[in-house]
Amino acid sequence: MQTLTQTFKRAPKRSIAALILLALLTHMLVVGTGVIRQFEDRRWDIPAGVYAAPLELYAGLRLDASGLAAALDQLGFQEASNVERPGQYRVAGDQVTLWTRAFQFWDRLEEAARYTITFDDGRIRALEADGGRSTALLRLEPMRLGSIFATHHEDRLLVEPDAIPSMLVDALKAVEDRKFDRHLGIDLTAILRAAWVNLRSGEIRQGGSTLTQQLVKSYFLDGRKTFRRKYQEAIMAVALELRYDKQALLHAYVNEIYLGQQGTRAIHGFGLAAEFYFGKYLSQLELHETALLIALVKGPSYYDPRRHPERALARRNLVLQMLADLDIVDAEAATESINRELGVTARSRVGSRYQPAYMDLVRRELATQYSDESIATIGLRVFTNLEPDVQRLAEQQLVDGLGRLDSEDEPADDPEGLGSQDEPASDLEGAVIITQPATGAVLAMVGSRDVATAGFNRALDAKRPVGSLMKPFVYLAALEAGGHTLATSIEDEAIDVELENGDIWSPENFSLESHGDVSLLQALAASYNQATVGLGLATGVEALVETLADFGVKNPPPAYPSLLLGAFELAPFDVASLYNTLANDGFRTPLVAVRSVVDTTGQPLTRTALEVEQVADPDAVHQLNRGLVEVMQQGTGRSAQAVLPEKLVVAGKTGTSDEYRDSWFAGFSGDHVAVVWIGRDDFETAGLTGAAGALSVWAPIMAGLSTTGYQPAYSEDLEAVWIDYDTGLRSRRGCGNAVQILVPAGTRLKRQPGCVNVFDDIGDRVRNVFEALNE
Amino acid sequence: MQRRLLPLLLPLVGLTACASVPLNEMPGEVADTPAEVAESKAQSGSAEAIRELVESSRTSRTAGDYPQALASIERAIRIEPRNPYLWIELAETHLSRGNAQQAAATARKAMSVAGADRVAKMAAEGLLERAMGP
Repeated sequence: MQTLTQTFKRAPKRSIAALILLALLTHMLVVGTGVIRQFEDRRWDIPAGVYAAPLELYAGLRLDASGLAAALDQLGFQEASNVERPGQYRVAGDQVTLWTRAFQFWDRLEEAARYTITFDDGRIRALEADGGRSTALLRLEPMRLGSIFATHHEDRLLVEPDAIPSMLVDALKAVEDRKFDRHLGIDLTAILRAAWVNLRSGEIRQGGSTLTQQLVKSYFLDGRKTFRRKYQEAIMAVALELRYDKQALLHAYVNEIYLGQQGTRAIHGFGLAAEFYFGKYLSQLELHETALLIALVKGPSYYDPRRHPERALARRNLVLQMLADLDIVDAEAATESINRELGVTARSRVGSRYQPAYMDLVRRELATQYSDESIATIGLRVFTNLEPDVQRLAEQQLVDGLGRLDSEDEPADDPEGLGSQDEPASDLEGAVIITQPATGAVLAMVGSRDVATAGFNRALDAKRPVGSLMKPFVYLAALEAGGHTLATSIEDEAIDVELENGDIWSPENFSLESHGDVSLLQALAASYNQATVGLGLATGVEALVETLADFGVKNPPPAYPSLLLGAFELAPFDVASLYNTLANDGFRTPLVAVRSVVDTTGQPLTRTALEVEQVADPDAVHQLNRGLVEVMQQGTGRSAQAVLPEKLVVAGKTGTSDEYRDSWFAGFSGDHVAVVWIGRDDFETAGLTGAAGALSVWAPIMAGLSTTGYQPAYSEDLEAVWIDYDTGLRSRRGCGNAVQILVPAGTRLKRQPGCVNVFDDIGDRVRNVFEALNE
Repeated sequence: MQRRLLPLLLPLVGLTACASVPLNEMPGEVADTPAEVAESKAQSGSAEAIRELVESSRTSRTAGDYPQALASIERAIRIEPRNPYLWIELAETHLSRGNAQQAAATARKAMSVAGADRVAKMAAEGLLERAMGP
């Protein structure tokens, strides 16, 4: 037996060659196993899949046939003349026939079945399963919102193997790597051909890369074109080919390949690219759209269809021609597609399938119960409260509203528009949150006017002074303390408050005028600062701090008098939580995005139970809310009337911080709470009051929701009375500026001269008795 | 006051203990003003769907499958958040699984939306009484 040394001695040249070979093989083995390990780690990672709230269909639901068709399109259902299999639907007049797909919910499996749904006058009239069996309730599969990845691959829409269109696979092979099914990771003839081209040109021009090499490059290497890279790439590609079958590699390729860039956000994978360029699921793409994505593989930046549409179009048509020549698509379809426009959407669209702000909230909620690793790897399925229609509405109205405010902002004294050319783009920003009061379900969240880009989530993280949004809690504390009703007369006069440091604080009203004696109702509705400070000091600032703590404010502020006027910073999400409790009769329920989490097999892991806690007296809250309704009738929120449906009763409050830095509106109907914040990230003035800014976004949101009016439940401890808006004296319907409010039963109010006399009083009492008997 | 009410509530306790409120007596929504009467008529179509969910929730509760019972009743509440009978069902489920504190809070919520519906109000009060315990 020869030792290595002996070999070396006997045949030094051969030994050196052997050593080099050995070193090379070792290196290949090390690189190969390394790459397989990394690939393995990632390949088996199944990121958490996140779903929107399902649409529940039942007789009586406000929905028409076209609305249902739109929802089905969103879910990727196909319209068909005959509904023959799951995933198809057909609209015929007032009837929709659909075949649902089976879906495993957090509580049970909904089987695939065919249904006929009949509509009548904007509502569902009947649901029938096949065979004429009437069905009470049909829960459609929820829309998939996306996946949550580990931080390095946050942004992706994963496509499952069976969801990859076979045409895409064939086309990719045809255009990028015709020998894919036969080679072992590298294509020697392609390399030789490329080498010949490169040799002649003196630089590396042609890659000759197989799909596997492209995958390796995207996974593990940077984009530099050196011979060392090429060598590494080749070894890694061979190693992957030896270990995995072609299908697994293709699946990874489809989800990994680099297809575009938006700022610092890289667009990887065909799923996200379909969304990024067309706003569609991959499975919904038409031929000319798929062809464009394939065209982009060669150079997403050079062929960027938004920046270089002519290049992109030429390359796309080349791809289409190739596919026709190779019989992958038929010639007629190719010709038809060649004649079509690129069809890419404008950037920053609303209603995309990617809701970064909402996903951010989902991730934060999950992080309290799951490790980052489990979220990114074990295939959790996360069911959320997001309602796609509501989310789309919120996005649309924020983008449109800020656009309107931008254009109003243009200097009016510059009629020729000379100065506008150098004007910087507006930096007004905004956030919106919409919740369901009774359940605390977060239905929609927008964290920026750039609705489809992940970044600073203002809805959760922009802590800003709330201004007059604080006032309702000052009034609630007073109502709960007793001795006050909305009819109570208070003073709105100049007021000097001595602070702890000895300074004197003299708050002023917005109009810089004082209003003398006013009703609590008017002080709240018209948002008088001096009256509010007087009331708050009489009740005690501590009472306000206590109310805030009860309402769930995590770090309640110290009891400074300036707190009464909202010198306190909260994020829009926290404001939504406060107002949700007002809308929910004084019951606090945590605002939640995640409803339930199940594992890959559908076994429930965690669910968010609906829990409530009474934190305020419902009667006091009902009295207060009547005042917030008056804000919308004749107070600071009245401009919304022009936009809202005439009979929709809503309650709300404007908020404006010092120097117009923050423009807020928070309010609710019977079914929805919505909070809008508008301001600038650099804390410069936005130049907007709550009414001029946030309310102009809030009102069209509320008008666009399918919602019902705010109506407090009857309570035998309260009675409805008419009072004069200005004085708070007892009045009657139609007399002067009479407004109906709720007061504790048996409250005696002074009469407004000229409106109520002693006989009216007796009449009222008799009527009350009759009404009670009628019940 | 509490002592005087007790005999009154006792029969109700018996009623709520077995089945809260008979399903066929469950209105879609509580109405107390003309506007709400109209609204409840408009929503009455959902009664079938709500009934099915409540039935399913009760079946799960009887079988001791509380997560399933909660899931069904919460689906119903999402559809009709101001229906006091749904909150009563939810409170009953919390009580069955031994969460008296949440049962009491939920019963209070039921009372706040019961409005002029005395049946609902009494059922919720009875439930609150049981949840508060001796």
